[in-house]
Amino acid sequence: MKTINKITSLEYGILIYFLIRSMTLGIAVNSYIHIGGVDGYLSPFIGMIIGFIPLYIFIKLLNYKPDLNIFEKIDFIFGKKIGTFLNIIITGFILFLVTVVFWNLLNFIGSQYLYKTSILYVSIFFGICFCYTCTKRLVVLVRASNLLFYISIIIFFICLIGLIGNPKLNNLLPFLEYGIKKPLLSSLSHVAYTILPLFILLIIPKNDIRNKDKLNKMIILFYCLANIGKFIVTFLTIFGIDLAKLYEFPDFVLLRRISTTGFFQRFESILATQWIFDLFIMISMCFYFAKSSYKHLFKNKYDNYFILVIIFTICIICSNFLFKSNTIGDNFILYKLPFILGIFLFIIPLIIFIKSRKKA
Amino acid sequence: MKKLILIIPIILLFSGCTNYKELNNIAIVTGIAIDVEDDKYEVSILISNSQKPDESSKEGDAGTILYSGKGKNISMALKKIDNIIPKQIYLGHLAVVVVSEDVSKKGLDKVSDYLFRSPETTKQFYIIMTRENEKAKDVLKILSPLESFPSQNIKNNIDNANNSSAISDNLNYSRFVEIYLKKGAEPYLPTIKIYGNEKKGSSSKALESVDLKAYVSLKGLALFKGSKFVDFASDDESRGINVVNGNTTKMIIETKCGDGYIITAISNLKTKKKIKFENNEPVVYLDVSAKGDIQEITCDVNLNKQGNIEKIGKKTENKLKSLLNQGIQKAKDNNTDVFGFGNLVYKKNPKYFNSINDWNEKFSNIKIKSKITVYMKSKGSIKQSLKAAR
Repeated sequence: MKTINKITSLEYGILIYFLIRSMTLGIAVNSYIHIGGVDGYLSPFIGMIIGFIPLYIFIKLLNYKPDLNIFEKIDFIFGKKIGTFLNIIITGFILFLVTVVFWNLLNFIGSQYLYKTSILYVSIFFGICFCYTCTKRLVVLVRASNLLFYISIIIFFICLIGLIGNPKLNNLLPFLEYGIKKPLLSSLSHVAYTILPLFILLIIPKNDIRNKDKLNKMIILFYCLANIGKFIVTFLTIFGIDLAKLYEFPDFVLLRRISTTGFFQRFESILATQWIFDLFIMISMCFYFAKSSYKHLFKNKYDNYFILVIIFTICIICSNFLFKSNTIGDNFILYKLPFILGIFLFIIPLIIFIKSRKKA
Repeated sequence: MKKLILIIPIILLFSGCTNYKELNNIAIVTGIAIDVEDDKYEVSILISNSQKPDESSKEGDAGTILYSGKGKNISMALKKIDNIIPKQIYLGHLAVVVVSEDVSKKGLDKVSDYLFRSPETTKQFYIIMTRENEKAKDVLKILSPLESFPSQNIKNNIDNANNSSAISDNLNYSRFVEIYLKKGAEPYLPTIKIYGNEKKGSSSKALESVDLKAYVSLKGLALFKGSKFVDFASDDESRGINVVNGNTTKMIIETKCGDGYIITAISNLKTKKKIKFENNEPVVYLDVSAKGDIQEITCDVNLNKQGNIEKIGKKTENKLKSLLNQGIQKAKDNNTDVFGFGNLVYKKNPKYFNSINDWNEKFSNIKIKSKITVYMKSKGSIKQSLKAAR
């Protein structure tokens, strides 16, 4: 009996919000600073405009055959053999992406929170949570994301209010010293990190979403909300590019400057949980994607998720040993990951989109 | 059952992790002093949760103690201290770091990396330098009758001094590094000096006497070029530097009048810095505005005449200008742009800035035009000076 996972368009929008924000911490922010330089603050804004292209492809693919999820659509468009091959490749890449994102999460917690604790304990703790969520239905994850969204918004406004009076617009100068090239490159990285992962949400067929008439509005609303939020809280204006480049996680260090009425101080650890929520939802969605792929490949023959838990545990353990050092990891994420994301989450969906138009 | 199997390990892992430490097993460091001794760095840490002797302990009171260790770098020096103390050093409450003149002459970049890299420290602690070959650790030994810890005394001193004398600056570590990294700007540090008998001042018996045996006082700024110390600025020069940098909003200006003085309390001090290019050369325009209140008059002057009020305002402006010029001249003489004019030039015209080999050389010849405006607002509680009223 097919389990029904109906979610509302608002909940779908919330998932978009989290997925866009998920690779901000330590990934997108570092690309703004190191690639964009002083003009890096323009990257989310330019990226948001360029991002409408992959967003358009995403919406079109969502609307195509609304009763099918992405794997079924690929099978329908390319046939059984090529479809299965493509599905395996995409699933494999998503699992690789999970490993990279989880490494980033562990790197953040290990360097800012628990720097004296073995990172293996932290990965086990999070791994248990992720493995547990992957055994649940989509509606459970979506309900959790609803609650985390409201907490995240409250934390975001606390950060915004706490940073009022701190920005120094002088730090944004000189304006476009090297022309538009640097912020443009950084905005392309922004698109790769934040918008292309929306492809994961194609695992939810459109027919599984209630009040579909509001869906497009919700997608664009939460897309703009997540991107504008990034643009507003621009750390460059407070630190200056030279100091921002020094820090491993400048957005976390920025929160240390929040001191409300001289009473609330040193609560950057609590405020940073908004990014942990983002990463949690992202990794959980990726695992749900992989679970759906497994169910599709084996045609629901195996209801036992033991194999899935093993695969996810392997991903979590691999994230501990993915990169030999922080430097290798940072360089890979900064200079190579955008290209890999572009191939798997833009070129392939573009091919699917073009084929779907021809088939239609 | 499945939930129970999951919840139990989560509770176990979430309840404090492997490196959990009780509060009485950590040594809370509130002050660090760095000196040079025998070509090594001597690091002294002020621990603020030591036990007080039984006969003088009040419930809830903690004592302070200073531990020192030597090493070729900060990490090695702290490791030496680790071998002495029975508790784990905790830097999360670090309030002040004192460096000696010798350390500054060697270069602060050799000692600043550890504290900046450590995730434990907040980077919001103050950094201050000693004067005239005084030991930094001696500063942390001077007890104050008004504060529990010497580090707290220094920290509050810095916070309060910025509001009145304008000699010092409440420069935290993060801001110091920010200035150090900026293009076309040189850092500076506030300084501190011990007055009185340092040995008597560090004994708890000093607190039992009404007579102050020793105390620490903030002095003028120390100018740096890169990470190396170059020269001390006098009190007046430091005031001028702080006014140009916008580090102070209040100060006291003393002007001569007959056989006495007029003291004006300046507030709402604002400084605007602009760079304009004239004949392809940068010119700095400073616009300083402030509000003045007459605080004290010890000469015969009739305050009911508007002309006299304007004269007082003019004298105050001239004195303020003189302070500015002294500060600027000091920086020019040492070829160190502590005002960040070079950074403003870079932001206005990066091509021009990048074409200059050494900005500090250029800075020593730069034209600076200043405009000072003081609005005399109030005369205090009385309308006339006592001498004039008589």
